[in-house]
Amino acid sequence: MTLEVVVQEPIIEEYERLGGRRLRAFLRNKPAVVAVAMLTFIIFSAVFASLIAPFDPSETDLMNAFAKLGSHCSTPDCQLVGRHLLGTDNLGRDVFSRLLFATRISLFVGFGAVVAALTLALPFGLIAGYLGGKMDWLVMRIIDIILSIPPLILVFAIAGVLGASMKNAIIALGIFFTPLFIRLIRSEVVNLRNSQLVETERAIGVPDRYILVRHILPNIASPLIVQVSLSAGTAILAEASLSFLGLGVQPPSASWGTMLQNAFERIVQHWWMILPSSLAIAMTVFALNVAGDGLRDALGKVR
Amino acid sequence: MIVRRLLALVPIMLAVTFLIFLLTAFLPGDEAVTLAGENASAERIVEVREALNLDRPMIPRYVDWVERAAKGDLGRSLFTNQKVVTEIAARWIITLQLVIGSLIFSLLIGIPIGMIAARFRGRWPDRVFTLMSSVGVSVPSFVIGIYLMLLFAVWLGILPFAGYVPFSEDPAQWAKQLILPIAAMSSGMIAELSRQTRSALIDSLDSDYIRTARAKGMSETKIIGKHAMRVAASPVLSIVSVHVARAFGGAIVIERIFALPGLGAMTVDAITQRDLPLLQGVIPLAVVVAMTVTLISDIINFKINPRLQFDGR
Repeated sequence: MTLEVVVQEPIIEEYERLGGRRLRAFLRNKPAVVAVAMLTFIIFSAVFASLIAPFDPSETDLMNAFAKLGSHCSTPDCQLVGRHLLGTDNLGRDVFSRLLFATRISLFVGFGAVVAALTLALPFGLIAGYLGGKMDWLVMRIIDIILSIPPLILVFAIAGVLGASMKNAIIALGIFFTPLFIRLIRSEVVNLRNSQLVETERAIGVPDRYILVRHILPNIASPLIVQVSLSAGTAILAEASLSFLGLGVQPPSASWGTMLQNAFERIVQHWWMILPSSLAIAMTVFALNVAGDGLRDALGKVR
Repeated sequence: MIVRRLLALVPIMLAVTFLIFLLTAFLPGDEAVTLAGENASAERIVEVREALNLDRPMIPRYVDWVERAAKGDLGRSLFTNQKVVTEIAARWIITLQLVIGSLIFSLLIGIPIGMIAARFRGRWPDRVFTLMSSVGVSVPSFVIGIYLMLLFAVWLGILPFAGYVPFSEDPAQWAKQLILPIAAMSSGMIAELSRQTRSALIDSLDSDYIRTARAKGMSETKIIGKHAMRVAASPVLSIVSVHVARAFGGAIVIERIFALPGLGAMTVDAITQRDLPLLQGVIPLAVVVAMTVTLISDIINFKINPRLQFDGR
C-alpha cells in the first residue's frame, strides 16, 4: 500500500495550493471581477425586487400611461412612493418596478434551466464516461440525434407543444442543455478515467463509488462551472426570444422578453420603452460571458 | 466516404422525425382536443383525430408517416388545410435569402475585422474590435434588429419598416427590405468570426514559416493576407457550418420582427397553433439542411487540409 501514499499525498497538497493560485489568477483579470460585481448587483436586485420596487409591477394607472422618465405619478396616495424612475408603460405600470420583477423571472428561468439540465446530465455523463461500453455508445448516439436539430427550433418546438408558460420554458431549455452537459461531463470523465491516479486506484481495488465522488467529481467541477456560467447566458437569451414570441412567460407577468415585445409594438411613438429590457438582457449576458471567460482562463491555466 | 456520411443521414433523420412524433405524446390531455383548440366544435375534433390518425397507436402511425413522406407527401396543415409541401415551397426562398445573405455579409465584415485585429494585436484597433465582438455575442440578434429598425426606419426613415417584396417585382425595394434583417442576423456571426479569425491568425503567426517570411522582409500585412489566412480557413469553415444551423433558429425571431413571410415565421405560427403536420415537415427540413452544410464544410476542410481524417470529428 505504499503506492497509494506516494501517489495521493502530493496531489492533495497540489489542490490546496491550486485553489489560492486560481483565485489570484481570477482576481487579476479586471474585466472578470467587474463582471462578477455586476452580476452580484443584478442578482441582488432580482432577489430583493419586492423590497426595492416602489410600485406594484402589475398595478395599472391608465391616466398616466407612457409617463416620461422620473415623472410624478397621478394617483393621490402616490406621493409616498415617489416617482416613476423609468416612466410608465402603455397601461401606466411603473417600468422600473416591472424591470426588477422581470429580472427575477428571467434569471429564474435561465439559471433554473441550467441547474435542471446539470442535475439530469450528471448521472448520465458520469456513467457513460466512467463505464464506457454499450451504455456510453447509446447515450452518445441519442445526444448526436438531439444535437442535430437546430438549437432554437428544438426549444421552440418543445415549449410550443407543452404550451406557453414559464414552467414549460424551463423544461424546454433544460432539455436543450442536457445533451450538451452530458457530452462535456463524459469527455472530462473519460480523460480522468485514463489518468494514472484513477488507474492505480482501480488496480488496488478502490470502490468505483469512492473514486467517482472523491476524485472525479471535484476534478470535473471547474470545466462545469465555466460551462454553467456561459450556458446561463445562452439560456437567458433564449428565454428572451421565447417570451418575445409569446411562447414563454405569459403576460401580465413581466420578463425581459415580454417587456421587450410590449415595447416593440409601440416603437414608433414611444421608442424609449425598448431601452430598459434590452439593456438588461445585454448587460446580464455580457457579464455572464466575461465572467465565464475569466473563470476559464483562471481555472484553465493550471490544468 | 462521402457516400457513407450521406447514408449516416438516414438513421438520424428517422430518429429526429420520430422524436418530433413523440412530442404528441407530451400534449396535455386528449391530443385531438388540444390540437383542435380551445373552443373547437365536436366535428372539428373528429376531423383532427382523423387527419392525424390519432386513434391508431404511435408506432404504426409513424411508419405510415415515413412511408408517405418518402413519396413526398407530408400531409396537410391543420389550419390552412394546404399541403405541407406547398406551404414550405412558398416560403423557403425567403429564409434561404436571409441565411445566405447573412453568411456573405458576415464573411465580408467579420474576416477583415479579425485580420485587422490580428495585424494590430494588443494595440487599440484590436482592443476596440475585441470589445465590440464580446458585445456582439451578448446582444441577441433580434435586439440588434429592433435597434436597427429604430435607427434606419423610425429615425432616419431611409429604409422600410418591415415586409417583403419579391426580387422579380421590385429589385430596389427587395434589397431595401432585406438589408436590415440580414444585418441583424449577421451580428453574432460577425462577432464570432472576427474572434476566431484573430486567434487563429495569432496562433499561426508564431510558426516557423511565418518567421521565415518575416526574415525575408515581407510586410506584416502581406504575411497575414497571404500566408496566415490559409491556416485560419479551417476554424472559419467550422463556424460557418454551425452558423447555418443556428441561422434557422435565428430566422424565427428575425422574420417575426421584420414581418417576412418565411419558414421561421411559419414555424412560429405552426407552434402557436400546434399545427403538428406542418412542424413535422419543417423541422426535419431544417435538420437536413444543417447536416448537409456540415458535410459540405467537412469536405472543403478536408480538401484544404488533407492531413485531417475525413471521418474524424
